[in-house]
Amino acid sequence: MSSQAASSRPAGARRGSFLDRERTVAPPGYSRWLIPPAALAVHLSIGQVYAFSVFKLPLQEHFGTEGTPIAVIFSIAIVMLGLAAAFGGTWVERNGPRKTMVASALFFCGGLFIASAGVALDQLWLVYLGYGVVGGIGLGLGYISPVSTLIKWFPDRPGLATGLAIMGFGGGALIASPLTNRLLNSYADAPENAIAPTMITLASAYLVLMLLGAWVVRVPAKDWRPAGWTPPQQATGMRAAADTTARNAIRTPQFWLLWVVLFTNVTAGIGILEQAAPMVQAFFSQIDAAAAAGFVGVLSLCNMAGRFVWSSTSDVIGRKPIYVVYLGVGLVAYLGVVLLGTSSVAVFVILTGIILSFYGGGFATIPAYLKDMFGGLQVGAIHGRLLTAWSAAGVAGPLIVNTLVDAGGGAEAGASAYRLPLSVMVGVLAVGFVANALVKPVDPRFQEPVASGSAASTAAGQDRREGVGKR
Amino acid sequence: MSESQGAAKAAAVLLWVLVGGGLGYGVWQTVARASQLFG
Repeated sequence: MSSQAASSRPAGARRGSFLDRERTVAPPGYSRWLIPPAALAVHLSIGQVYAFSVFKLPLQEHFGTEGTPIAVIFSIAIVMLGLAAAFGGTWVERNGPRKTMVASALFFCGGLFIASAGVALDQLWLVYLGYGVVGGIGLGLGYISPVSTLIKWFPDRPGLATGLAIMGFGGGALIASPLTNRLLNSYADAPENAIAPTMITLASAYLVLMLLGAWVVRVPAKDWRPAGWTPPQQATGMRAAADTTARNAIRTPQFWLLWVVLFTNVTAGIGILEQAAPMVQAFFSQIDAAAAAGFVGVLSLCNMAGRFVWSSTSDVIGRKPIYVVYLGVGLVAYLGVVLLGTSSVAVFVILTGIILSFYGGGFATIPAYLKDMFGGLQVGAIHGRLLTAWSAAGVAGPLIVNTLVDAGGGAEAGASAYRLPLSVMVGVLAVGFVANALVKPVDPRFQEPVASGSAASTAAGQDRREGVGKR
Repeated sequence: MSESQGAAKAAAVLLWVLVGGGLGYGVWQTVARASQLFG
Protein backbone atom coordinates (compact mmCIF):
# COMPACT_ATOMS: atom_id res chain seq x y z
CA MET A 1 0.00 0.00 0.00
CA SER A 2 2.84 2.37 0.76
CA SER A 3 4.07 2.48 -2.84
CA GLN A 4 0.53 3.10 -4.12
CA ALA A 5 0.01 5.84 -1.61
CA ALA A 6 3.32 7.42 -2.53
CA SER A 7 2.55 7.45 -6.24
CA SER A 8 -0.87 9.04 -5.76
CA ARG A 9 0.27 11.65 -3.22
CA PRO A 10 0.32 15.26 -4.40
CA ALA A 11 3.76 16.85 -4.46
CA GLY A 12 4.57 18.47 -1.15
CA ALA A 13 1.87 16.66 0.78
CA ARG A 14 2.93 15.39 4.19
CA ARG A 15 3.06 11.63 4.24
CA GLY A 16 2.33 11.24 7.93
CA SER A 17 3.30 8.55 10.36
CA PHE A 18 2.75 4.86 9.76
CA LEU A 19 0.44 5.02 12.78
CA ASP A 20 -1.79 7.80 11.41
CA ARG A 21 -5.38 7.13 10.45
CA GLU A 22 -4.85 8.13 6.80
CA ARG A 23 -2.10 5.52 6.45
CA THR A 24 -4.51 2.79 7.52
CA VAL A 25 -7.18 3.41 4.85
CA ALA A 26 -7.74 0.14 2.97
CA PRO A 27 -7.29 0.13 -0.81
CA PRO A 28 -10.20 -0.87 -3.08
CA GLY A 29 -10.97 -4.59 -2.95
CA TYR A 30 -9.51 -5.13 0.53
CA SER A 31 -11.47 -7.93 2.19
CA ARG A 32 -13.19 -6.89 5.39
CA TRP A 33 -12.70 -10.42 6.73
CA LEU A 34 -9.01 -9.59 7.18
CA ILE A 35 -9.94 -7.11 9.94
CA PRO A 36 -11.59 -9.30 12.64
CA PRO A 37 -8.36 -11.19 13.51
CA ALA A 38 -6.68 -7.83 14.21
CA ALA A 39 -9.49 -6.95 16.62
CA LEU A 40 -9.41 -10.42 18.16
CA ALA A 41 -5.63 -10.22 18.63
CA VAL A 42 -6.09 -7.17 20.86
CA HIS A 43 -9.15 -8.42 22.75
CA LEU A 44 -7.74 -11.92 23.32
CA SER A 45 -4.64 -10.27 24.80
CA ILE A 46 -6.29 -7.74 27.09
CA GLY A 47 -8.89 -10.36 28.10
CA GLN A 48 -6.04 -11.72 30.24
CA VAL A 49 -7.31 -9.41 32.97
CA TYR A 50 -10.21 -11.81 33.62
CA ALA A 51 -7.64 -14.50 34.44
CA PHE A 52 -5.90 -12.32 37.03
CA SER A 53 -7.28 -14.55 39.79
CA VAL A 54 -4.68 -17.17 38.78
CA PHE A 55 -2.00 -14.79 40.11
CA LYS A 56 -3.91 -14.10 43.30
CA LEU A 57 -2.67 -16.88 45.59
CA PRO A 58 0.95 -16.80 44.32
CA LEU A 59 1.00 -12.99 44.87
CA GLN A 60 -0.40 -13.43 48.39
CA GLU A 61 2.32 -15.98 49.13
CA HIS A 62 5.04 -13.86 47.54
CA PHE A 63 4.16 -10.64 49.39
CA GLY A 64 3.00 -12.43 52.55
CA THR A 65 -0.28 -10.58 52.63
CA GLU A 66 -4.03 -11.17 52.81
CA GLY A 67 -6.32 -11.37 49.81
CA THR A 68 -7.63 -7.79 49.88
CA PRO A 69 -4.37 -5.93 49.03
CA ILE A 70 -3.96 -8.27 46.07
CA ALA A 71 -7.60 -7.96 44.96
CA VAL A 72 -7.04 -4.18 44.83
CA ILE A 73 -4.72 -4.70 41.82
CA PHE A 74 -7.62 -6.06 39.74
CA SER A 75 -9.99 -3.37 40.96
CA ILE A 76 -7.56 -0.59 39.98
CA ALA A 77 -7.19 -2.14 36.51
CA ILE A 78 -10.98 -2.28 35.94
CA VAL A 79 -11.51 1.28 37.20
CA MET A 80 -8.69 2.51 34.93
CA LEU A 81 -10.27 0.57 32.05
CA GLY A 82 -13.49 2.53 32.50
CA LEU A 83 -11.71 5.87 32.92
CA ALA A 84 -9.40 5.37 29.94
CA ALA A 85 -12.33 4.30 27.75
CA ALA A 86 -14.42 7.26 28.90
CA PHE A 87 -11.75 9.96 28.63
CA GLY A 88 -9.72 8.44 25.78
CA GLY A 89 -12.65 7.63 23.50
CA THR A 90 -12.50 10.88 21.53
CA TRP A 91 -8.72 10.55 21.12
CA VAL A 92 -9.27 7.00 19.86
CA GLU A 93 -11.79 8.20 17.26
CA ARG A 94 -9.51 11.02 16.10
CA ASN A 95 -6.32 9.00 15.81
CA GLY A 96 -7.66 5.80 14.33
CA PRO A 97 -7.23 2.18 15.31
CA ARG A 98 -3.54 1.59 14.55
CA LYS A 99 -2.14 4.31 16.78
CA THR A 100 -4.60 3.33 19.52
CA MET A 101 -3.80 -0.36 19.29
CA VAL A 102 -0.06 0.38 19.50
CA ALA A 103 -0.70 2.65 22.50
CA SER A 104 -2.83 -0.07 24.07
CA ALA A 105 -0.09 -2.67 23.50
CA LEU A 106 2.58 -0.43 25.02
CA PHE A 107 0.45 0.43 28.06
CA PHE A 108 -0.90 -3.07 28.69
CA CYS A 109 2.36 -4.97 28.12
CA GLY A 110 4.42 -2.18 29.71
CA GLY A 111 2.17 -2.50 32.74
CA LEU A 112 2.92 -6.21 32.94
CA PHE A 113 6.67 -5.52 32.67
CA ILE A 114 6.47 -2.92 35.46
CA ALA A 115 4.43 -5.32 37.60
CA SER A 116 7.03 -8.05 37.07
CA ALA A 117 9.70 -5.60 38.26
CA GLY A 118 7.53 -4.89 41.30
CA VAL A 119 7.39 -8.59 42.09
CA ALA A 120 11.13 -9.05 41.55
CA LEU A 121 11.91 -6.05 43.83
CA ASP A 122 9.22 -6.96 46.42
CA GLN A 123 7.48 -3.61 45.84
CA LEU A 124 3.70 -4.10 45.84
CA TRP A 125 3.09 -0.45 44.91
CA LEU A 126 4.91 -1.07 41.64
CA VAL A 127 2.43 -3.86 40.88
CA TYR A 128 -0.44 -1.46 41.58
CA LEU A 129 1.15 1.11 39.30
CA GLY A 130 2.10 -1.37 36.58
CA TYR A 131 -0.73 -3.87 36.28
CA GLY A 132 -3.38 -1.60 37.75
CA VAL A 133 -2.80 1.95 36.51
CA VAL A 134 -0.61 1.60 33.39
CA GLY A 135 -2.04 -1.76 32.31
CA GLY A 136 -5.58 -0.55 33.00
CA ILE A 137 -5.13 2.36 30.57
CA GLY A 138 -4.08 -0.20 27.95
CA LEU A 139 -7.24 -2.19 28.69
CA GLY A 140 -9.52 0.81 28.12
CA LEU A 141 -7.85 1.94 24.88
CA GLY A 142 -7.65 -1.61 23.56
CA TYR A 143 -11.25 -2.43 24.40
CA ILE A 144 -12.95 0.33 22.40
CA SER A 145 -10.64 0.83 19.43
CA PRO A 146 -11.20 -2.40 17.44
CA VAL A 147 -14.93 -2.30 18.19
CA SER A 148 -15.58 1.01 16.44
CA THR A 149 -13.33 -0.07 13.55
CA LEU A 150 -15.27 -3.29 13.02
CA ILE A 151 -18.58 -1.41 13.15
CA LYS A 152 -17.35 0.75 10.24
CA TRP A 153 -16.41 -2.38 8.25
CA PHE A 154 -19.70 -4.17 9.00
CA PRO A 155 -22.38 -1.45 8.83
CA ASP A 156 -24.79 -4.11 7.57
CA ARG A 157 -24.09 -6.48 10.50
CA PRO A 158 -22.80 -4.44 13.45
CA GLY A 159 -23.97 -7.03 15.98
CA LEU A 160 -21.87 -9.74 14.35
CA ALA A 161 -18.90 -7.36 14.23
CA THR A 162 -19.04 -6.30 17.87
CA GLY A 163 -19.81 -9.88 18.94
CA LEU A 164 -16.66 -11.09 17.19
CA ALA A 165 -14.41 -8.57 18.89
CA ILE A 166 -15.89 -8.70 22.36
CA MET A 167 -16.06 -12.49 22.27
CA GLY A 168 -12.27 -12.21 22.20
CA PHE A 169 -12.26 -10.40 25.53
CA GLY A 170 -14.19 -13.29 27.09
CA GLY A 171 -11.99 -15.81 25.31
CA GLY A 172 -8.81 -14.14 26.53
CA ALA A 173 -9.33 -15.50 30.02
CA LEU A 174 -9.91 -19.02 28.69
CA ILE A 175 -6.45 -18.90 27.11
CA ALA A 176 -4.61 -16.96 29.81
CA SER A 177 -5.85 -19.03 32.72
CA PRO A 178 -4.39 -22.46 31.76
CA LEU A 179 -1.37 -20.81 30.13
CA THR A 180 -0.51 -18.83 33.26
CA ASN A 181 -0.95 -21.91 35.44
CA ARG A 182 1.40 -23.85 33.20
CA LEU A 183 4.04 -21.08 33.25
CA LEU A 184 3.80 -20.63 37.03
CA ASN A 185 4.41 -24.33 37.50
CA SER A 186 7.29 -24.57 35.04
CA TYR A 187 9.51 -21.55 35.87
CA ALA A 188 10.20 -22.41 39.53
CA ASP A 189 9.62 -24.99 42.22
CA ALA A 190 6.74 -22.93 43.65
CA PRO A 191 4.30 -20.60 41.79
CA GLU A 192 5.09 -17.64 44.09
CA ASN A 193 8.69 -17.74 42.83
CA ALA A 194 7.67 -17.81 39.17
CA ILE A 195 5.44 -14.73 38.96
CA ALA A 196 7.94 -12.29 37.41
CA PRO A 197 9.13 -14.56 34.56
CA THR A 198 5.53 -15.59 33.90
CA MET A 199 4.46 -11.95 33.58
CA ILE A 200 7.42 -11.19 31.31
CA THR A 201 6.61 -14.16 29.08
CA LEU A 202 2.94 -13.19 28.83
CA ALA A 203 3.79 -9.53 28.15
CA SER A 204 6.23 -10.49 25.39
CA ALA A 205 3.73 -12.79 23.69
CA TYR A 206 0.90 -10.24 23.96
CA LEU A 207 3.14 -7.44 22.66
CA VAL A 208 3.91 -9.40 19.48
CA LEU A 209 0.25 -10.38 18.99
CA MET A 210 -1.11 -6.88 19.58
CA LEU A 211 1.48 -5.18 17.36
CA LEU A 212 0.72 -7.72 14.62
CA GLY A 213 -2.94 -6.76 14.99
CA ALA A 214 -2.05 -3.04 14.78
CA TRP A 215 -0.09 -3.65 11.58
CA VAL A 216 -2.94 -5.59 9.98
CA VAL A 217 -5.81 -3.29 10.96
CA ARG A 218 -7.30 -1.03 8.29
CA VAL A 219 -10.17 1.44 8.17
CA PRO A 220 -12.50 1.50 5.16
CA ALA A 221 -12.23 4.30 2.61
CA LYS A 222 -14.75 7.07 3.19
CA ASP A 223 -17.08 5.99 0.38
CA TRP A 224 -16.65 2.25 0.91
CA ARG A 225 -19.74 0.12 1.43
CA PRO A 226 -20.27 -3.63 1.54
CA ALA A 227 -21.32 -5.05 -1.83
CA GLY A 228 -25.09 -4.94 -2.27
CA TRP A 229 -25.70 -2.83 0.84
CA THR A 230 -27.22 0.64 0.75
CA PRO A 231 -27.17 2.83 3.86
CA PRO A 232 -30.64 3.83 5.08
CA GLN A 233 -31.62 7.27 3.78
CA GLN A 234 -34.03 7.87 6.62
CA ALA A 235 -34.48 6.70 10.18
CA THR A 236 -36.18 3.30 10.53
CA GLY A 237 -37.38 2.12 13.93
CA MET A 238 -34.58 2.74 16.43
CA ARG A 239 -31.98 3.28 13.70
CA ALA A 240 -30.92 6.87 13.15
CA ALA A 241 -30.01 8.04 9.66
CA ALA A 242 -27.98 10.93 11.09
CA ASP A 243 -25.03 10.94 13.48
CA THR A 244 -24.78 12.29 17.00
CA THR A 245 -21.45 13.44 18.44
CA ALA A 246 -20.23 12.02 21.74
CA ARG A 247 -20.61 15.46 23.29
CA ASN A 248 -24.29 15.58 22.33
CA ALA A 249 -24.95 11.90 23.00
CA ILE A 250 -24.37 12.25 26.75
CA ARG A 251 -27.01 15.01 26.77
CA THR A 252 -29.70 12.64 25.52
CA PRO A 253 -31.94 10.54 27.80
CA GLN A 254 -31.22 7.58 25.50
CA PHE A 255 -27.56 7.52 26.54
CA TRP A 256 -28.43 7.40 30.23
CA LEU A 257 -31.17 4.81 29.71
CA LEU A 258 -28.62 2.59 27.94
CA TRP A 259 -26.18 3.32 30.79
CA VAL A 260 -28.78 1.90 33.20
CA VAL A 261 -29.41 -1.06 30.87
CA LEU A 262 -25.70 -1.96 30.78
CA PHE A 263 -25.24 -1.29 34.49
CA THR A 264 -28.13 -3.58 35.52
CA ASN A 265 -27.20 -6.35 33.10
CA VAL A 266 -23.56 -6.35 34.24
CA THR A 267 -24.47 -6.07 37.94
CA ALA A 268 -26.74 -9.13 37.66
CA GLY A 269 -24.12 -11.15 35.78
CA ILE A 270 -21.30 -10.26 38.15
CA GLY A 271 -23.57 -11.27 41.04
CA ILE A 272 -23.29 -14.87 39.86
CA LEU A 273 -19.78 -14.77 38.39
CA GLU A 274 -18.21 -13.41 41.54
CA GLN A 275 -19.79 -16.04 43.78
CA ALA A 276 -19.94 -18.94 41.32
CA ALA A 277 -17.78 -21.50 43.12
CA PRO A 278 -19.03 -20.99 46.71
CA MET A 279 -22.62 -20.59 45.51
CA VAL A 280 -22.83 -23.93 43.68
CA GLN A 281 -21.31 -25.62 46.75
CA ALA A 282 -23.83 -23.87 48.99
CA PHE A 283 -26.73 -25.06 46.82
CA PHE A 284 -25.42 -28.64 46.51
CA SER A 285 -23.37 -30.04 49.36
CA GLN A 286 -22.10 -32.95 47.23
CA ILE A 287 -20.20 -30.56 44.90
CA ASP A 288 -16.47 -30.58 45.74
CA ALA A 289 -13.86 -27.93 44.86
CA ALA A 290 -12.92 -29.57 41.52
CA ALA A 291 -16.56 -29.78 40.41
CA ALA A 292 -17.08 -26.15 41.50
CA ALA A 293 -14.12 -25.16 39.31
CA GLY A 294 -15.84 -27.06 36.50
CA PHE A 295 -18.97 -24.99 37.10
CA VAL A 296 -16.91 -21.79 36.74
CA GLY A 297 -15.62 -23.21 33.45
CA VAL A 298 -19.18 -23.81 32.19
CA LEU A 299 -20.10 -20.22 33.04
CA SER A 300 -17.00 -18.91 31.23
CA LEU A 301 -17.98 -20.81 28.09
CA CYS A 302 -21.57 -19.50 28.29
CA ASN A 303 -20.25 -15.97 28.80
CA MET A 304 -18.01 -16.19 25.72
CA ALA A 305 -20.54 -17.95 23.48
CA GLY A 306 -23.28 -15.48 24.44
CA ARG A 307 -21.14 -12.60 23.23
CA PHE A 308 -21.05 -13.89 19.68
CA VAL A 309 -24.36 -15.77 19.39
CA TRP A 310 -26.68 -13.20 20.98
CA SER A 311 -24.97 -10.16 19.45
CA SER A 312 -25.21 -11.73 15.97
CA THR A 313 -28.85 -12.57 16.64
CA SER A 314 -29.51 -8.90 17.38
CA ASP A 315 -28.77 -8.11 13.71
CA VAL A 316 -31.85 -10.17 12.85
CA ILE A 317 -34.34 -9.35 15.62
CA GLY A 318 -33.15 -5.84 16.53
CA ARG A 319 -31.24 -4.36 19.43
CA LYS A 320 -34.14 -3.32 21.66
CA PRO A 321 -35.88 -6.74 21.40
CA ILE A 322 -32.65 -8.60 22.23
CA TYR A 323 -32.31 -6.56 25.44
CA VAL A 324 -35.93 -7.42 26.24
CA VAL A 325 -34.71 -11.03 26.10
CA TYR A 326 -31.51 -10.39 28.12
CA LEU A 327 -33.34 -8.52 30.86
CA GLY A 328 -36.79 -10.17 30.74
CA VAL A 329 -35.79 -13.80 30.28
CA GLY A 330 -32.78 -13.13 32.51
CA LEU A 331 -35.14 -11.93 35.22
CA VAL A 332 -37.24 -15.12 34.89
CA ALA A 333 -34.07 -17.24 34.95
CA TYR A 334 -32.89 -15.48 38.13
CA LEU A 335 -36.31 -16.10 39.67
CA GLY A 336 -35.96 -19.73 38.60
CA VAL A 337 -32.65 -19.99 40.49
CA VAL A 338 -34.35 -18.60 43.62
CA LEU A 339 -37.37 -20.92 43.42
CA LEU A 340 -36.04 -24.05 41.67
CA GLY A 341 -32.28 -23.75 42.09
CA THR A 342 -31.97 -26.51 44.65
CA SER A 343 -34.10 -29.01 42.69
CA SER A 344 -31.19 -30.39 40.64
CA VAL A 345 -27.65 -29.55 39.56
CA ALA A 346 -28.72 -29.63 35.89
CA VAL A 347 -31.49 -27.04 36.42
CA PHE A 348 -29.10 -24.82 38.40
CA VAL A 349 -26.38 -25.02 35.73
CA ILE A 350 -28.80 -24.40 32.84
CA LEU A 351 -30.38 -21.35 34.50
CA THR A 352 -27.09 -19.76 35.57
CA GLY A 353 -25.59 -20.59 32.15
CA ILE A 354 -28.44 -18.71 30.45
CA ILE A 355 -27.92 -15.72 32.75
CA LEU A 356 -24.19 -15.64 31.98
CA SER A 357 -24.79 -15.92 28.24
CA PHE A 358 -27.04 -12.84 28.52
CA TYR A 359 -24.32 -11.09 30.55
CA GLY A 360 -21.85 -11.63 27.71
CA GLY A 361 -24.46 -10.78 25.10
CA GLY A 362 -25.21 -7.50 26.84
CA PHE A 363 -21.56 -6.45 26.65
CA ALA A 364 -21.22 -7.40 22.99
CA THR A 365 -24.49 -5.90 21.72
CA ILE A 366 -24.25 -2.49 23.39
CA PRO A 367 -21.87 -0.92 20.80
CA ALA A 368 -24.26 -1.98 18.01
CA TYR A 369 -27.18 -0.53 20.00
CA LEU A 370 -25.23 2.74 20.30
CA LYS A 371 -24.48 2.70 16.58
CA ASP A 372 -28.19 2.32 15.84
CA MET A 373 -29.12 5.18 18.14
CA PHE A 374 -26.27 7.63 17.55
CA GLY A 375 -24.81 6.60 14.17
CA GLY A 376 -21.23 5.50 13.51
CA LEU A 377 -19.54 8.93 13.58
CA GLN A 378 -18.19 8.75 17.15
CA VAL A 379 -19.52 5.41 18.29
CA GLY A 380 -16.16 4.51 19.84
CA ALA A 381 -16.12 7.64 21.99
CA ILE A 382 -19.76 7.14 23.02
CA HIS A 383 -19.05 3.49 23.82
CA GLY A 384 -16.11 4.56 25.95
CA ARG A 385 -18.27 6.89 28.00
CA LEU A 386 -20.92 4.21 28.46
CA LEU A 387 -18.33 1.77 29.84
CA THR A 388 -18.31 3.75 33.09
CA ALA A 389 -21.46 1.68 33.76
CA TRP A 390 -19.20 -1.39 33.75
CA SER A 391 -16.85 0.15 36.31
CA ALA A 392 -19.82 1.09 38.53
CA ALA A 393 -21.37 -2.39 38.19
CA GLY A 394 -18.01 -3.94 39.00
CA VAL A 395 -18.24 -2.27 42.39
CA ALA A 396 -22.02 -2.57 42.95
CA GLY A 397 -22.51 -6.23 41.93
CA PRO A 398 -20.00 -7.86 44.29
CA LEU A 399 -20.89 -5.36 47.04
CA ILE A 400 -24.61 -6.24 46.91
CA VAL A 401 -24.06 -9.98 46.78
CA ASN A 402 -21.27 -10.21 49.37
CA THR A 403 -23.03 -7.92 51.85
CA LEU A 404 -26.34 -9.78 51.63
CA VAL A 405 -24.76 -13.25 51.66
CA ASP A 406 -22.80 -12.33 54.78
CA ALA A 407 -25.97 -10.94 56.36
CA GLY A 408 -27.68 -14.26 55.57
CA GLY A 409 -25.06 -16.26 57.44
CA GLY A 410 -22.45 -16.71 54.68
CA ALA A 411 -21.99 -19.53 52.18
CA GLU A 412 -21.87 -22.01 55.09
CA ALA A 413 -25.57 -21.31 55.68
CA GLY A 414 -26.37 -22.99 52.35
CA ALA A 415 -28.74 -21.93 49.59
CA SER A 416 -30.88 -19.86 51.94
CA ALA A 417 -28.09 -17.27 52.26
CA TYR A 418 -28.34 -16.61 48.51
CA ARG A 419 -32.14 -16.19 48.28
CA LEU A 420 -32.15 -12.50 49.22
CA PRO A 421 -29.23 -11.36 47.01
CA LEU A 422 -30.61 -13.32 44.06
CA SER A 423 -34.05 -11.77 44.65
CA VAL A 424 -32.45 -8.32 44.72
CA MET A 425 -30.90 -9.11 41.33
CA VAL A 426 -34.39 -9.87 40.00
CA GLY A 427 -35.31 -6.31 41.00
CA VAL A 428 -32.12 -4.93 39.44
CA LEU A 429 -32.98 -6.63 36.13
CA ALA A 430 -36.54 -5.28 36.34
CA VAL A 431 -35.11 -1.73 36.52
CA GLY A 432 -33.02 -2.45 33.42
CA PHE A 433 -36.05 -3.92 31.65
CA VAL A 434 -38.03 -0.70 32.25
CA ALA A 435 -35.08 1.48 31.15
CA ASN A 436 -34.82 -0.47 27.90
CA ALA A 437 -38.57 -0.16 27.34
CA LEU A 438 -38.25 3.63 27.64
CA VAL A 439 -35.59 3.90 24.91
CA LYS A 440 -36.96 5.89 21.96
CA PRO A 441 -35.25 7.25 18.82
CA VAL A 442 -32.92 10.20 19.42
CA ASP A 443 -34.42 13.67 18.98
CA PRO A 444 -33.09 15.16 15.69
CA ARG A 445 -32.00 18.34 17.50
CA PHE A 446 -29.08 16.36 18.97
CA GLN A 447 -28.01 15.06 15.55
CA GLU A 448 -25.52 16.45 13.07
CA PRO A 449 -26.85 17.88 9.80
CA VAL A 450 -27.13 15.24 7.09
CA ALA A 451 -25.16 15.98 3.93
CA SER A 452 -27.38 15.54 0.88
CA GLY A 453 -26.88 12.23 -0.88
CA SER A 454 -24.90 10.62 1.89
CA ALA A 455 -27.28 10.20 4.75
CA ALA A 456 -25.29 7.59 6.57
CA SER A 457 -21.84 8.01 5.17
CA THR A 458 -20.23 7.79 8.53
CA ALA A 459 -16.66 7.71 7.34
CA ALA A 460 -17.25 10.77 5.19
CA GLY A 461 -18.87 12.51 8.12
CA GLN A 462 -15.92 11.62 10.29
CA ASP A 463 -13.46 13.12 7.84
CA ARG A 464 -15.55 16.27 7.50
CA ARG A 465 -16.00 16.92 11.21
CA GLU A 466 -12.69 15.82 12.60
CA GLY A 467 -10.41 17.21 9.93
CA VAL A 468 -9.04 13.77 9.09
CA GLY A 469 -6.94 13.95 5.92
CA LYS A 470 -4.74 16.80 4.89
CA ARG A 471 -6.15 19.86 3.27
CA MET B 1 -1.14 -5.32 -5.02
CA SER B 2 2.04 -3.88 -3.51
CA GLU B 3 4.54 -5.98 -1.62
CA SER B 4 3.62 -4.47 1.77
CA GLN B 5 -0.07 -4.98 1.00
CA GLY B 6 0.56 -8.65 0.33
CA ALA B 7 2.56 -8.95 3.54
CA ALA B 8 -0.28 -7.37 5.51
CA LYS B 9 -2.76 -9.84 4.03
CA ALA B 10 -0.44 -12.73 4.84
CA ALA B 11 -0.14 -11.38 8.39
CA ALA B 12 -3.94 -11.20 8.63
CA VAL B 13 -4.22 -14.84 7.60
CA LEU B 14 -1.51 -15.74 10.14
CA LEU B 15 -3.47 -13.84 12.78
CA TRP B 16 -6.61 -15.81 11.94
CA VAL B 17 -4.62 -19.00 12.53
CA LEU B 18 -3.13 -17.68 15.80
CA VAL B 19 -6.37 -16.37 17.31
CA GLY B 20 -8.32 -19.41 16.09
CA GLY B 21 -5.73 -21.76 17.55
CA GLY B 22 -5.59 -19.77 20.78
CA LEU B 23 -9.35 -19.78 21.18
CA GLY B 24 -9.46 -23.51 20.38
CA TYR B 25 -6.82 -24.16 23.06
CA GLY B 26 -8.73 -22.06 25.60
CA VAL B 27 -12.08 -23.70 24.87
CA TRP B 28 -10.57 -27.19 24.96
CA GLN B 29 -8.89 -26.52 28.32
CA THR B 30 -12.10 -25.04 29.74
CA VAL B 31 -14.28 -27.89 28.49
CA ALA B 32 -11.88 -30.31 30.17
CA ARG B 33 -12.27 -28.34 33.42
CA ALA B 34 -16.03 -28.04 33.00
CA SER B 35 -16.37 -31.80 32.55
CA GLN B 36 -15.33 -32.20 36.20
CA LEU B 37 -18.73 -30.82 37.16
CA PHE B 38 -20.44 -33.84 35.65
CA GLY B 39 -17.68 -36.35 36.35
